[in-house]
Amino acid sequence: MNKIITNISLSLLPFLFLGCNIDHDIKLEQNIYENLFQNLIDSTITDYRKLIVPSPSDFKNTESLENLNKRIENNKTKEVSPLIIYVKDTIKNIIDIEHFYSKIKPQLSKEDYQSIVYNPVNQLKENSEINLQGLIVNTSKYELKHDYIKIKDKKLLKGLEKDRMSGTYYLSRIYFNKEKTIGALSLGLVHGSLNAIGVIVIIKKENNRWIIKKIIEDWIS
Amino acid sequence: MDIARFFKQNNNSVVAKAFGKLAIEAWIAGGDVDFQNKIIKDSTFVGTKADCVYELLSSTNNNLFKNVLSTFTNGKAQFELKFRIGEVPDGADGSTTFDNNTGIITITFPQIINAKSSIEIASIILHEGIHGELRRIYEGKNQVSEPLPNNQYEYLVDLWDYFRGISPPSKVSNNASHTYMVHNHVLPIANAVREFDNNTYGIDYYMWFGWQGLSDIGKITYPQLLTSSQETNYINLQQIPINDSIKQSCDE
Repeated sequence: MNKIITNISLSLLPFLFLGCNIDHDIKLEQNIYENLFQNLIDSTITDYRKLIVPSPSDFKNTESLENLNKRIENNKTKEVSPLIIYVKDTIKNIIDIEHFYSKIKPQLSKEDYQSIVYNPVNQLKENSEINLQGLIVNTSKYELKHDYIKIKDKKLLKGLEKDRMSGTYYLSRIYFNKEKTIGALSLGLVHGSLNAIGVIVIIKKENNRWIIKKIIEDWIS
Repeated sequence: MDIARFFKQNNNSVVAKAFGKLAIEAWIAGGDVDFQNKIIKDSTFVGTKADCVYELLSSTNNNLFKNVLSTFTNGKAQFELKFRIGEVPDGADGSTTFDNNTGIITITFPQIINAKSSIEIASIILHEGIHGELRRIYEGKNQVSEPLPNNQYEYLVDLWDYFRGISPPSKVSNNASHTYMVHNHVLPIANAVREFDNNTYGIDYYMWFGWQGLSDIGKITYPQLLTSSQETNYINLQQIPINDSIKQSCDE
């Protein structure tokens, strides 16, 4: 009987070990998102209030190009209130993992790539949540809101509130190498049902700080 | 067509091999492959309502559908198209991915698309199809079958270069292709959906199908192509063809 209990306990050890690692991953992921979220927004957002959109005639000749440049310069100084950013607090595990790995492969060394793909902790990741209160952003530029309004209803928002609204961010779990010095995540930004982008982000730990190493376009809508 | 003949006809190119690999995987999983036209319907897409609408658009010879997808479906495309149902973030109705290595353009629809009406699905297929088509032309440097007229291609490239200078890299293709679509595709999409709906109502009832996904850009063009009051009006009018009792065969 004791032998059976010992065997069962021993067979559970790797799962307990991996379980601890996964918990640790969630804390680490929270910490990374807290520190990198501002950079992630800056690297993916379009503030339509400050965007100049050229028409075909803007590229016609030197004069029209000069006029376009003037409009761009004028718009740079335009003062706008903080952009409203919606964020989902669920961070999802990546379902189409083969596609995800195929996108990060060309961006990593063979060792780093394999270390992510064969990291058993990554294979056990499940949907989790992050605490949005901890995300640090420049409040003069962005106002973070928990995504509680359905996209469909956002169309009905009026006036300034609607103009300030940017879209909803969807974040994934972060897939690390075994040494936890490299990670990759997927990010979706949905402005509307047919206006959205998806990127894959490679992050790296340098001098004890996590930085964005590369942002790869994944999809558009 | 057998796979050996397909490779031979395509000179055993890397793209042909990538297509062949995906095609075999799709077959094994119960998908549908059209070697002649280089279209893969993933098993997740086959037999869905979205597939039904796709086939209906195709069989009724819808004009925009023909223009957008004919280059993929006439067997001359340098790039291949794949349709699938898969994961797309909540609130997004579709996504278009371009794979540099294989030349495969994948259009993914979320499962919930099948709960929408046929005309909504048709407009989503057209919107994402245009993304695929613009990507085919941009990546192929217009040296493709059925290229854009030179002035339009130059505008597309100008937009890509322009947004590369002012947008985050991740937003370049989205902003460039949406701006191009604002100037070229709003009315054609609206007309195509109206045609698909047997011209039941006037064009204004279908304008939001054309503006969907493009309105943020349309409201800031110079001169402005869409006003806020037009936007509200089109959103309201769109509800009439969506909610009326007229059904397409795929709705039944």
